[in-house]
Amino acid sequence: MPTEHLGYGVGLRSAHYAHILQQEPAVDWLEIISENYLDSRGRPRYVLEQIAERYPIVMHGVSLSIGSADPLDFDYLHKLQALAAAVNARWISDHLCWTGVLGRNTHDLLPLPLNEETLKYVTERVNVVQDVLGRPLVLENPSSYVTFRASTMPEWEFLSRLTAATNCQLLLDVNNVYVSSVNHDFDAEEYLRRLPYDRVAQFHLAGHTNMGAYCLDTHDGPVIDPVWKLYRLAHELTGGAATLLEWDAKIPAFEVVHAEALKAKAALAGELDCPGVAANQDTLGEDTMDESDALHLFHPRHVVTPEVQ
Amino acid sequence: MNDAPRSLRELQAWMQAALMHPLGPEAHSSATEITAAILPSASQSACARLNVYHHAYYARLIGCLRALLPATAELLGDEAFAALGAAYLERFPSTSYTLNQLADRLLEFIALTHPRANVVTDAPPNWSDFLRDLVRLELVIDAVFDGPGGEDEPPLDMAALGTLAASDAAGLRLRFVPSAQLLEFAFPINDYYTAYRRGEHPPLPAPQPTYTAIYRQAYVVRRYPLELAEFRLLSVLSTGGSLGEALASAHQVFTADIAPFEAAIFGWLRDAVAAGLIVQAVRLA
Repeated sequence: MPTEHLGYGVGLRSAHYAHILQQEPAVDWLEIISENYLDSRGRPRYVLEQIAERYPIVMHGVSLSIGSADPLDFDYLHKLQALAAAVNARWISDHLCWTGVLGRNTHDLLPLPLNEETLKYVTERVNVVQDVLGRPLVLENPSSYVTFRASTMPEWEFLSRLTAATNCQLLLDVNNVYVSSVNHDFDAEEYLRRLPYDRVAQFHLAGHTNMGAYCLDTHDGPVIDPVWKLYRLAHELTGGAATLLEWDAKIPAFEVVHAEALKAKAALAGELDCPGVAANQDTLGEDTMDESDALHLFHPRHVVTPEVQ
Repeated sequence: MNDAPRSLRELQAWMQAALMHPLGPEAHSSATEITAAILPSASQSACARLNVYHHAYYARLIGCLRALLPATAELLGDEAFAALGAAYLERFPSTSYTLNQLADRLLEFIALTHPRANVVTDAPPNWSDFLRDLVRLELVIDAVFDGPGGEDEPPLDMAALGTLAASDAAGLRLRFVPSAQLLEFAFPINDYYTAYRRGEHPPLPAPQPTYTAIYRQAYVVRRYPLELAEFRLLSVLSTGGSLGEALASAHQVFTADIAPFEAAIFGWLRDAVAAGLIVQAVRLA
C-alpha cells in the first residue's frame, strides 16, 4: 500500500488552533475538513499552513459527492488538488455517498443503492477523480440510516468490487460500521472480515448516540467499548493503519480529544477493557430521548467561526 | 411517484425532495411510496428511517446558520431562529460545496419575505429593518474573516503620507486594505453587536443612521465606527476617488466651520492609517 502508517491523529478543529500553534502537542498527525480550507484566504488557511510545517496533514472531504447523479464538480476537484499540493497532504479522502442532486447540496452523507448500476457509475467517477487528483482516492464507509429495496449487494461487497476496479483505497470508519450494523441489522464483525482489508489506508474512530430506535453518528463523545473491540479486529485483519479520532460536537479541550485517540494504542495492546461486541452492544428501544433533544445531536459539518473584535 | 424510483437520478431526486420537505417525508410521499423505495429495519419503519435524514438536514443546517449568525440567533431566540432558518432553506437551499456560503442569500430572503410578519409576529414595526442590519453585519464579518486580507501589506508611513500631501493633497489617492468594507446601517448596530459580545441582552434600539468599517488585521476582524462625514470621506477614497473628491463629499455633510473640518480630516486619515485601514498613498499621474 502506498499510504504511510502515520500513527494516531485527531481531526483539526478551529477550537484547537491556538493550542496546537502555541503548545505544539505531540500528536502524530492531523486531518482537516477539506472544504474549510479550499477557499480560505484568512486565518483558517494561515493556521493550516503553519500547522502543515509541523505535522503530517491528511485531507478529508465531505462534498465530493462521488455517488451523485449530478456531474462531478471539476472546479472543486482542482481546488482539492491545489490544496493537497500546498500542504503536502498525505492523501485525500471522502465518503461513499452522495450529498445532493439537481444542483443542491444537503450537506449530509446520503447512502447509495448498492447495485450493479451504481457500482458501474461510481467506478467511472472514481477513475475520473483519481485522474484529476493524480493519486488514489481514499473512500470512507458512511454511517447510514436507510437501506434501499434497489440494493442487491452488501456494502462490503460494493467496496470490495469498487477498490478492485479502481485501485482506490479505503478509510475504514469502525464506528460507522458499528452504527450501520445496528441500524441495518447486520453483523459488524462479518463486515470487517469480508472487506478488502488490504486496501485500508486509514481508520476513523468516533463516538455515537443511541437514539432508542437507531444509533446516530454524532461524533460528540468517547468511543464505546464495542467499537474498540471492532477496531482491534480491524487492526488484526489489516496489519494496522493510520488511525484518527473524530470529535465534532461538544468539542472538549485538545488534550481530551488526543487522549481519546491514544486509547487506540491501549486497545491494541489489550490494555482497554473491551467486553465482547455482543455483550456491550447498544440495545435499541431502551432509550427514550425525545425528538427535540435529538435535533441538537446532529454534528454540524464544520463552520469555522470568525475571530472578531 | 407511484412506483419505486428506477434510476439512480430518480431515486436521489425523490429522496432529496422527501428529506428536504419542511413537513417531513410523509408530507412529500405516501407511506406506500416510501416503503416501495426503502426497507424497514428490525426497529424502524421505512418512513421513520427516512425521517432521520429529514431531521438531520434541518438540524445540521440551522445549526450552521446559528454558528454563522450568532447575534441574530440570540436576537430571535431558538424557536424563531429555527423557523426563519427552515423557511430560508426551503426557499434557498444550499448549492455550494461549502457551508461558509450557506447564509449568503439570507438578506435577499428577508427582503422577500418580511419575517416580522411570518416569524416574530409581536415585534415592533421596524424589527425587520433591524434584523436586516444585524444579519448584514454578521455576514460581512464572516466574509471578511475568511476573504482576502492583506496581512502581508506593510503599514503606511505617516511621514511619507505627509510629504505627498504637502505637495498635492487634492490629487492623492489612498489604497485601503483588501478586506475593508464600509457599511451604513439604519440602526446603531455596531453598539448592539458589542453589547451582544459582552453577554448583555440589549433592547431593540431606536433607528439611528450609523457607519462602520469592517476589516481584518492580523487575521482578526476589526470593527471601526465612523462619523457620517468620515464615512463619506473614506467611501470616496476606498472606491478610487482622489482626496480632493473625498474632501468635497465629506464637506457636504460636515456641519462645523472650515477650521475644525480640516482638523477632523487630518485626524480621521491619521487614525485610519494607524488602524491599518489605509495601506498605500499614491499621487495622481
